[in-house]
Amino acid sequence: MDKVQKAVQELDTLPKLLLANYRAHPSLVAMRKKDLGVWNPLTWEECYLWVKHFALGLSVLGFKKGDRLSIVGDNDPQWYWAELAAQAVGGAAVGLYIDVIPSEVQYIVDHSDSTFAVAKDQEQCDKFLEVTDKIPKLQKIIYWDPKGMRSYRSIPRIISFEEVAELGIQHERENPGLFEQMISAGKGKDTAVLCYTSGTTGLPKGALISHDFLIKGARKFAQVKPWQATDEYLSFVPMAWIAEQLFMVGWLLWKTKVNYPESTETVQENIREIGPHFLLLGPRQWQGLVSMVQMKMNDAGSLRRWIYKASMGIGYRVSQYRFERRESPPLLWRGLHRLAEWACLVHIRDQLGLRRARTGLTGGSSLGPDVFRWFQAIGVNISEAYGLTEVNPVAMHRDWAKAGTVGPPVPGVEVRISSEGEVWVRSDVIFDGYHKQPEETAKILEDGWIKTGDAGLFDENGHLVILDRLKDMLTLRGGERYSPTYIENRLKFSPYIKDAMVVGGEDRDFLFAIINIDFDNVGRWAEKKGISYTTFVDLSQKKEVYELIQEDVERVNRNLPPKARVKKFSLLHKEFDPDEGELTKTRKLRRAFLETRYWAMIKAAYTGQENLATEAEVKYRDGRTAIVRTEIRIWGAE
Amino acid sequence: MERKTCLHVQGLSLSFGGVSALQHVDLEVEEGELLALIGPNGAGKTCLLNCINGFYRPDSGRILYKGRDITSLPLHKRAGIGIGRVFQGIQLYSGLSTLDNLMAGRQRFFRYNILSALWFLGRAKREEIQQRKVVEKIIDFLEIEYVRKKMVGELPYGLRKRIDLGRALAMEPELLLLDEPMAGMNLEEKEDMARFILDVHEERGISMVLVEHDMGVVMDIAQRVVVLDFGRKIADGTPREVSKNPGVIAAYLGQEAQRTVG
Repeated sequence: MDKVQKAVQELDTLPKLLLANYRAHPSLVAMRKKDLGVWNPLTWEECYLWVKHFALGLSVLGFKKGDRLSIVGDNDPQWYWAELAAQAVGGAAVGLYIDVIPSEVQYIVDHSDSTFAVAKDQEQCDKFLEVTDKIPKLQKIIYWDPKGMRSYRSIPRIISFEEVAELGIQHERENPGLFEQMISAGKGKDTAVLCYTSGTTGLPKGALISHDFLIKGARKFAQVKPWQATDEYLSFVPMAWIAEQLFMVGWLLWKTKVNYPESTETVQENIREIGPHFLLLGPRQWQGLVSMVQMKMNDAGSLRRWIYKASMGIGYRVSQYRFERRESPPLLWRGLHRLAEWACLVHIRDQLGLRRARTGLTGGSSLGPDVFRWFQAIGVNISEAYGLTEVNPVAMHRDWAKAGTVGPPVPGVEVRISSEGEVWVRSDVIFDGYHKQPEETAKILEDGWIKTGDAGLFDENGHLVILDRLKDMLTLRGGERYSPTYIENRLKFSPYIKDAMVVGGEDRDFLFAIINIDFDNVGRWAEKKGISYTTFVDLSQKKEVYELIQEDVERVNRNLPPKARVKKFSLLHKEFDPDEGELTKTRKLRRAFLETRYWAMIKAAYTGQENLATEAEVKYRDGRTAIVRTEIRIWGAE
Repeated sequence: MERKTCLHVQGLSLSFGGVSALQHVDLEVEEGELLALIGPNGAGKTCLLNCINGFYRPDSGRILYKGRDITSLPLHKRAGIGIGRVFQGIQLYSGLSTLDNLMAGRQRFFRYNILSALWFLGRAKREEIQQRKVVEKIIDFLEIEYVRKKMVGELPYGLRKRIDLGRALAMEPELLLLDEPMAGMNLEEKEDMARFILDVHEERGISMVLVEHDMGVVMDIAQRVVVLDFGRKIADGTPREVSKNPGVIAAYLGQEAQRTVG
């Protein structure tokens, strides 16, 4: 087996890896998909045959070397089969996020010159059909979930995944060995994927990613966090994201078993069923787990609450010895820790599905130090990773995750801080430029270094600290520098705060925060206190709720320099909504847009008003709009 | 092409003491048709449904289901011949999970006896698995995977309504009576429900009688509309025809319009 494994390590494209895996162990389980309530295993042979037939079917329909295939849908085996099929023919996959809107579909399909699209179901197909006249290059739209597609059968551009594979089976009969030839013609330098950046500013840019990039990136990753063939992995972060692409390569290189959740709503449940060794969650999701446990504990009986509190206290103390002082805890604490494990901690891990988790990862934006500490206390060591679509990975925590940093650079990657405090990265594999946008490529490259646009520094341990986007580091009138994101993340650690935006700037003396309450948690709190409310709008403007949030704001303020504190805040009458353009696809704030949108509120805060009548336009999912009128308070904090 | 008649109600009358709830009502539902039954409060819509699935015995008139006279067929046997119902109030076992509620809907398909059930022997096990597969398809269809094992009583109202529909579907009805399936829902839930009803109708070809107050929904999804007023049928036709019928406007839509203006 070692020889096989060694041979696998030398292959330079993803389809070659798939073929090698199929030849070496066809009947080994490669992935699982939960369908109709049952986890169905799929072997390497099944995966290989699906990819083979789909690829041949695509080429019968006219997909050629160098063509692009757009893919959109939930994480499913078909997503990856489609990607590998496109790559096997010599083309590349273009990943779209599932909440992409029709105008973005139009832009990306057109800009990437996609000739085919794979869209999961009716919902996704509709997005293509809505702009069908504006994407003439697109020949076929292929769906893999037939639900609700019955009435679409007559549309000539629409075809099912099975039908394409069926064409491939026939084609294979007539041309045996063709598929293997196609695969061997592939080279590591070929473009494998186009990753369109979520675009906090301007139009999305399509980064060209080669097979080399993915394979070497995954290897670098594995040098820090090794994968094993016995590992289980649950795939649910967007496939269009470069991080998930690297993990899929991990699947090909190390045969990690990939599990696909039943639906987006069941992910938490599915994590528990699978007990993954490897888990990548966004900071929000990690925070979500903490809030979930905390809320459940608030509802628990007093004995249970006491056990939880005592065990967590011990957990915190022991993790302090282990992770902060880097020494073995004294015997007494070790004994107490055993007890805490037995009474509580192991059960929390079990409930969260983290009992086998060897590696918990986070990325995208920074995770609050309190969340890190909470997980270390229950015995899960989360590592923060830092990477860009253009070069990945850059830095990652090793066995010691130091909160507030993203760890030292990974082997083979150089990082330096420019004179303006920007993080620059150099690596042997980087992206091949932005598709059709050489001027953008030139902007980000300088003497072989990639300018990340992030402000950062190295701490005394050589860990990289990412402060914020360079352009987002701000100063107040008094000259005090602050990072709005940092403060927002601290605020969001409260179970009652779902989102926050901190406003300040050079012409202002203090910080003002617009806060979204967490409707579920605040609602439950209100019920307990006997505070009646009707809607989100009503609840958010209750005096008692303001007092509740004030405590959280003041807790955060205590860790901030006195001159850069949140002196005033308002609770917004609605949640920030990506559909209204207030957040990006990865749920980052669109600050400039938000500042214009809530300009009246911000102005009121700085002119000393205490109330503001607001009329907000609310856009429903079907496109209809309605006006909501309410009085928003502006509240002070110390 | 002439379609077959699924349900034929002939001259149905029903009175409670001196109050006559239904007076000589005729109603025909073709196979695979989505018929809406509308009318002001107290017009006798629910009464008519209750007669069709056997809660009430009519004073006179006949109910033919697929050509067979079922007027005096007892309630439980009507479920057995394929008449399903989604109730106005939710009729679910609130202490059971979504899954168990739907499995209960499969009751008429279980054939094994109490002994094999007791030991969960071959036949019982096989049948449970087979029925579970059918139920799982309904769960997938209605997109309620994430509440599969949740207690129904803990779930929000809109979701329970959806599960109630699932329970009715589990018995594989050929005629489905829906009594205000969208009552008390918000706009988004209503749209979801309408979508599911249309999908059920399209993919499973079930004949449906829908009682609904939301005229927007009725006009959007019904193929034919029957209007009742004070226990009498006053109109029968396509949504467009019915909405132009002066009698209907006076009895129902007119009041609505006047109220909106006033």
